[in-house]
Amino acid sequence: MNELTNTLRRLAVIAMPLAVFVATTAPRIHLK
Amino acid sequence: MATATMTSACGGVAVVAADQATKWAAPSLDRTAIGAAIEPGLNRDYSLGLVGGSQTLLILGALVALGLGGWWAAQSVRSGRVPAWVGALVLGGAMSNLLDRIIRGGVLDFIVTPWIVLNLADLAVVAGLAAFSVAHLRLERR
Repeated sequence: MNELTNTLRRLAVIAMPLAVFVATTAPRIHLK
Repeated sequence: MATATMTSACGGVAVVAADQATKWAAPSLDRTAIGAAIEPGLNRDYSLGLVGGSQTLLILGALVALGLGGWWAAQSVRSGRVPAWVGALVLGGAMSNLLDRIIRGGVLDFIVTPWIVLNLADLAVVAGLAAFSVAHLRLERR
């Protein structure tokens, strides 16, 4: 159970910043 | 840790001010004067065009992300798990881009790199999130 909690916490540490990155930044691909 | 939270808040305001100032100045800048290509343009979608659609929905989504991310960042700064400047970069950058969506109907990008066009707020959020993840993963390993 403790291991599952740790795995979920590690996933959240990766997933939350990714979600924040996608929704709050807006770089656009540079078309030459 | 109230000082750390206050430092994050003040830093966030400084990031918003710096980003908005550069966005205001970008259209009138000499494109080659600062040694980097400047190409102002509005991006109505989310990052790299991954999500598009109604601006109202995109603003709501950004608000939710800012709320959740802000809450987590504030908790992490308050408990001393991440430095105050990390919260300032993430919150300030996210707030400034959200302000753009509300005022301009999209986010103004102007710094040209070989692959993408971005702005100061994007750089602040990316730097802050990278530092945030590194700090948390280091703590997890202990």
